[in-house]
Amino acid sequence: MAKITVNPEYNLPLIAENAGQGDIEKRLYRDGQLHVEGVTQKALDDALAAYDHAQDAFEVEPNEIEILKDVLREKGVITDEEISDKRLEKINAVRGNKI
Amino acid sequence: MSSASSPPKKFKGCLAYVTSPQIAPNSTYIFTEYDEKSYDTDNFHDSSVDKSKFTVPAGVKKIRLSAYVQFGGGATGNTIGEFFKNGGSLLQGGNKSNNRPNTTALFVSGVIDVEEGDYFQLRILQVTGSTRYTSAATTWFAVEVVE
Repeated sequence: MAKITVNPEYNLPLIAENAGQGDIEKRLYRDGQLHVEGVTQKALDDALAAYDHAQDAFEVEPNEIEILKDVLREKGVITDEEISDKRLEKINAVRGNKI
Repeated sequence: MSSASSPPKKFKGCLAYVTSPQIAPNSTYIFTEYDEKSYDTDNFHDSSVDKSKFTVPAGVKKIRLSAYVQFGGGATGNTIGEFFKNGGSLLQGGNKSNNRPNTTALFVSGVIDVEEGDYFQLRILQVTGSTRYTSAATTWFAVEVVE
């Protein structure tokens, strides 16, 4: 079992694959370290050294709420502040009902 | 007329939960960890030794496991998990997975034969495209002694 201390924001599947382990069952993150079975320590160290987060990071798709907010902003229907205020009003209303 | 009845059994079990959210990298398994307990009748869980493990004490033959995991951040993605027994996947009696577009999952085992010293964990994976944290208070693990 090879292991490296690594930023959890990194693309850990890619690092494990570049070390020679593509099986998701063979990697585990614990106590700030990525543990990978079936690879050498050197291969895993080399894969981390070669990793470029700016280039290799996950491509995160925006969630549905963010997409909706963008559309509303583009159409001039609502501003960020208005969205926040309305959400806050809703939260306060729910809290008031519970009390 | 007298009816023969035995006194009710005293409940044995453990309920542990999260107070310090645990980081879960995207698409990489973790063993969920618990740092607080609602109850623990027989010292199943000792967070000073290992926050992820629940160990069977002497005198217990059968248990049932349950767990709930919630990832914070409002992300959408798959959550997959299963109970582990003594470091390996529990294929009979307690394996449960969830693979649907949300970030919560409930896991329940059947009744499992156990021996003193057996230990159990929940291994879980989230695939949302980014790092997430287990939610405090709403992420928990329970052991119920059946026999």
